[in-house]
Amino acid sequence: MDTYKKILLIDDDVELGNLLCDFLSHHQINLEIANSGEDGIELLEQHQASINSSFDLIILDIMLPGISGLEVLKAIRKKNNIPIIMLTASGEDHDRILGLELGADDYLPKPFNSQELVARVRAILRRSNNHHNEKNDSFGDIRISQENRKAYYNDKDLILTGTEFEILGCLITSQGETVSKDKLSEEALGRQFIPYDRSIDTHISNLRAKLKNKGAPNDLIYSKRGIGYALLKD
Amino acid sequence: MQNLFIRIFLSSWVQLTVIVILAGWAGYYTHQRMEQIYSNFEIDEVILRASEVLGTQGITGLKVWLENINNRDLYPYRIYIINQNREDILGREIPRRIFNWQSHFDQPHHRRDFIKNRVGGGNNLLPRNLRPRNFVPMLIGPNNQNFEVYTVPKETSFAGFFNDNLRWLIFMLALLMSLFLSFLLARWYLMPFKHFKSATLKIAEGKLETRISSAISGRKDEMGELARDIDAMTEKLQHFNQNQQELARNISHELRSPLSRMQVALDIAKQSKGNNAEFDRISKEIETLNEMIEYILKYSKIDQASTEEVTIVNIEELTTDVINDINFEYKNDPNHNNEIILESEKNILFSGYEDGIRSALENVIRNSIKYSPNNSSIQCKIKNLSEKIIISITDEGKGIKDSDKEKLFQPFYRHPSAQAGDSTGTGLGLAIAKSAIEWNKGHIEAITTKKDFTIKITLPAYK
Repeated sequence: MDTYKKILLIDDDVELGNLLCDFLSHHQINLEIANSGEDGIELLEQHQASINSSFDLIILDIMLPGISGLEVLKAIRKKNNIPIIMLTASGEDHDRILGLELGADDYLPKPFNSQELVARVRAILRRSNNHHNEKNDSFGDIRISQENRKAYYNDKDLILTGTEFEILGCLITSQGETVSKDKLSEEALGRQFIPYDRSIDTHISNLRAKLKNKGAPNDLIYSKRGIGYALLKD
Repeated sequence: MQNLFIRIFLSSWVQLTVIVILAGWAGYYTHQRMEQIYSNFEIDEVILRASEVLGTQGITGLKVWLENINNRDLYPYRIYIINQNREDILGREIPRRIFNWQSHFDQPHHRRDFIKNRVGGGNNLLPRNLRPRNFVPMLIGPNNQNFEVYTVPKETSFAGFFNDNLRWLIFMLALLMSLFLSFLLARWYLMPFKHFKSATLKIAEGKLETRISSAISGRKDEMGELARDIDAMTEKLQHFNQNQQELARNISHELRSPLSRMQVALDIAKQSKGNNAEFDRISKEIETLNEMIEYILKYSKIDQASTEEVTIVNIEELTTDVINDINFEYKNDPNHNNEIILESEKNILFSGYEDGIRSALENVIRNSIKYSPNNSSIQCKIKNLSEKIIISITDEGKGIKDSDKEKLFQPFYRHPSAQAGDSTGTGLGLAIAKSAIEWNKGHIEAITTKKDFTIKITLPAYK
């Protein structure tokens, strides 16, 4: 594993980019900066062509001039499963929820603590590099393959994002026992559960929608309010 | 007829015309009848004949003659010959109005002598047993009995109107037609108002994309104009509302950008210079500023929430959620070690804006933690009365003076007794709570007693 990570920041705030570049360089992170969505997508494609210089993660601001961050997110997700952390300054819940629905792995509201950003980047990178050695797992009609990080319902690919995959994996590991939001947050997002944070709930509802799409019952993942989530035992 | 003015003008004109014609016709009819009555007093031939019959054949002859006339329906009027006892000589019932006329015609200004004029110049030519007395000719019988001769037009009154079946049918048909037409007309007048009503209600609920003019299918009259004007107004409102939201987002973005840079710069400084108290202070202030931005956004957002965001909320579960979050938030804070005790029935449902209620509860409970003594408990009681839901949050804090109770819910109001060191609040928490509760048609108030302080939230119960 390289010690140096390569991250693409898509944000129109040039000064912030420079500051972050400075800060992150102390944490073995190389930051490349694109100041618009168009530039970001172009840069990503250039780098993706050569295996050596491809990015490990994208930090994406939602509010961009020109095409919006959400559009960029959609465009990237069409071809690419690269981990994405969103930044939002608008404070609007629906931006965040929409971002997570469109397949972002995590989000961070602006202004953020740089240490927190580093921690989240590391958590997500660790996770996506973490090739579980456990055998492939299943629960009812759901089957996950740790090797290529894919999940199937009745052998139909659910096409999950990294975070959704982790959450589903976590639920399957517990085999129908309730998993607390704290645990889901730690396992899937690599961070402690923060009060008032609904991102786990959003990921869960995305998962439900994807499962339902492939014919699963709606309450296959059910919530225990105030506690957590569980898979429905037959 | 595109113009409502012309339409109303024409229809009222038609109505008036009909009324005028009817009234005129009724007047004419009455006049005609009166004329008939008047002219009957000039009746010459018949009366002269009567006097002749009386003269030659006596009373018996007169009776026979009258009987004959009566039975044969020769004239368009009936003749009554009345004796001094006010009885008809044929013993018929006398129409009451005859006597009314009599008194009427006895008025001095009516005393004109038609018969005299009519029959030819003077009393001289009249038979001797015929005498005009006021209006009513009088016959003098053999024994000087007086007989008054009244001629009464036969009944052609309104009562006879419906005797004819065809006429009856036509009348009913006309009635139905006019009923139907007026119904159509009235509906046509008022149909746009139905659309106006439902549309304006929707607009009031915040559905600013509502448009009216398509619903009333492009009428070109004033109604159509009004609809288009309202549409234009709604569009402006929608635009304004969007601008407002855009503005809020932009303000938030613009204010948070320098805050973000400040934070990163601070983190770099910490990294190179090591941690110290001033850095922590700056960090805390950045946090406070950020929180204020969030609260201002929230405060402006609650008012703009539309009814589409209304859902059925389980108050007890929501409160449990909020309390869990708050417990989590304060779990490592030794200065605010307060137990929150929830006492509630299960399954209290409420229909409203969940985010608003959540914000309100969060802010009220946080406020309680902030102002109550350390290690004291906070009581959260939820009661479900038939008409309303009452949520009361009681802490052991000092409370406030009655005069400050209203100010408590004003934006940026700060409790005078707020500890000097504790300036982290935004001063917006309870203002948000009030605005959220009022949006949900509820009511929030502060109650201070000697030993505790309660915020009481009343919400309408879900039915």
